[in-house]
Amino acid sequence: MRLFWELARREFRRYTTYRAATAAGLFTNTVFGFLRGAVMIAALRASSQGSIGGYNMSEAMSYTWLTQSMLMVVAVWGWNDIALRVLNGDIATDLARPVHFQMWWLARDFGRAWYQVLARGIVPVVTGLLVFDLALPASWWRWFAFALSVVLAVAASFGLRFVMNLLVFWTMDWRGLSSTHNALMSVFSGMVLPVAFFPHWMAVSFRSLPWYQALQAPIDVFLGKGSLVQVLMIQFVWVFAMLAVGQALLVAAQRRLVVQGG
Amino acid sequence: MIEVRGLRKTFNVYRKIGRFRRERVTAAAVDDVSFAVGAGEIVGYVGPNGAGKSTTVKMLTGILVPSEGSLTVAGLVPTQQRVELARRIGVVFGQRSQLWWDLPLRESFDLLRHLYRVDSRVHREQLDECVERLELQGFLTTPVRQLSLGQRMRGELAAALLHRPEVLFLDEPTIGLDIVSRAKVRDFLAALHRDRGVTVMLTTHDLGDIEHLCRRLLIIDQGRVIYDGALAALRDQFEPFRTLVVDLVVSGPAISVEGAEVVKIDGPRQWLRFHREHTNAADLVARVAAHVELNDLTIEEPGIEDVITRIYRGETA
Ligand SMILES: Nc1ncnc2c1ncn2[C@@H]1O[C@H](COP(=O)(O)OP(=O)(O)OP(=O)(O)O)[C@@H](O)[C@H]1O
Ligand SMILES: [Mg+2]
Repeated sequence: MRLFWELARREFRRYTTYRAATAAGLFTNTVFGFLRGAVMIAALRASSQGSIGGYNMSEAMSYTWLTQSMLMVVAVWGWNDIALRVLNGDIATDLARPVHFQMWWLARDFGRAWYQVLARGIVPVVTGLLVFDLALPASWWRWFAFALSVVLAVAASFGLRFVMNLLVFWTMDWRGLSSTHNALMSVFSGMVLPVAFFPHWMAVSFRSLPWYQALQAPIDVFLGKGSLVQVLMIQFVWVFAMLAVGQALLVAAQRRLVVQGG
Repeated sequence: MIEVRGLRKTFNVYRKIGRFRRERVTAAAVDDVSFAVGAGEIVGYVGPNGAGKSTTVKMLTGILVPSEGSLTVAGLVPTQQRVELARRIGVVFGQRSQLWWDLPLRESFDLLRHLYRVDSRVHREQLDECVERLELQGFLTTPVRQLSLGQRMRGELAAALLHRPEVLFLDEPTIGLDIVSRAKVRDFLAALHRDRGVTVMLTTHDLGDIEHLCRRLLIIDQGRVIYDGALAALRDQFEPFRTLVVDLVVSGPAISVEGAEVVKIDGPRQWLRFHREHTNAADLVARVAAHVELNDLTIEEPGIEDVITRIYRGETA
């Protein structure tokens, strides 16, 4: 437990050294929030009932600004820390440590996520709150459930990213995996459009897939869409399932492992 | 401490044949290697580029699964007991880093205390010793990415030692070090070995490291062990010739004596090559002295470097 904390803390500190990147990214996130907000407003105004997929105007604004805030927290567009180490052979030093490899990276990922909450998460939401009328949870326990759901979303997203990164052991090429990951994320996670905007049967099936757990799930908890308990339960199950898949993949990779370079 | 029997590692490499077809070729990087290293030994593991040294070290540390053969390190099977083994060994891969690139060196060291669950007093002591011996104090608070290669390598070495491992695997630990740092590292390793009886397996291309540190040498070439024995015996086995260098009082023609032949003349100085088993050096000197008047003489042993160069080139048995 102590090690987990120490790892998270270091990863957090590591990210604090990239100040310029953080500032630039924050600016972009906020600008895109306005862009996506404008598109959303236009779409809702054009629709006959003034709502789409059950989203009214303030819910649509909450969705927009929350996704902008969470984009980096759950690393929607992936991350390749492990893949790069596999490709350049540095993975050797990771495997020479007396530690569970997946836990090592999970701990670090929580450090990374917490940094992103503070550095990239707060400003877009506050901007949204100041400029637009956002729908907010009505009770304290829904806020609490939202926080829990975000934690699960980080873990689920980590599970997905871990698997994608390990696949590079077989493909030896990150670009293909990365674009696959991005394509799956943009459709199934609710990043580009709320899952509820899709036809009902599609939305229902998306909700049972792992990508949904990484982003749209906490937003549904926030907006009070669907059964809160059910959403959290499915998230929970997927976190464990993805971590288990990652672990199985790791075992398989180690068996056929080829460390690159001398 | 280390037992290796019939160790093999093969890699599949794909070679293009024709426009679209690829052929799978299985190449053995390590081919039937066997050896044993006792507790407290310090062994040099050398061989030309691509000989299979790093591949062997990776198998010994549990990072690569062997294709064939058996091995144990400190009584553990590396790939099956990787985590347990990792607690008891220290590893440095000269061309890789286990340090946190963006953080001060100190942060990496502190993390290792938690990683290896080292008592904070022991950690303190060990760190102080490393800082002093490897002269790290000047850059403990510098982010690793700002360190020079030599500074970073000393940091890597310290990082591998903080948990007081029983066995050290060092794959080119002196890469990029200047002469002074190199000497420090060698002294430090020698002291570790002497005072704590740490077992060391050292891969290097710097024969100075070998001469200073290793009594025993393992030479590997094309995945096979071609020499395993004392450093001192290497010369005798592969290079039986010695050279007697004489400075004559007056320059003259090539000296002709039994059991040696002149290989070079430079003014009054002549080089005579002789087989150390067939010709007794003292007798040879007496015979030469009987012939000509001498100012000075020395007997040259072949440099370890020359011997190993010839072995790499395949010029010896
Ligand atoms: N991932 C890999 N895939 C294919 N072949 C590999 C791989 N890794 C190593 N090899 C091959 O195995 C052989 C041994 O490599 P190794 O890195 O063990 O050499 P080495 O003795 O450490 O050399 P050096 O002195 O250059 O470090 C080389 O011929 C190399 O091409
Ligand atoms: Mg090597």
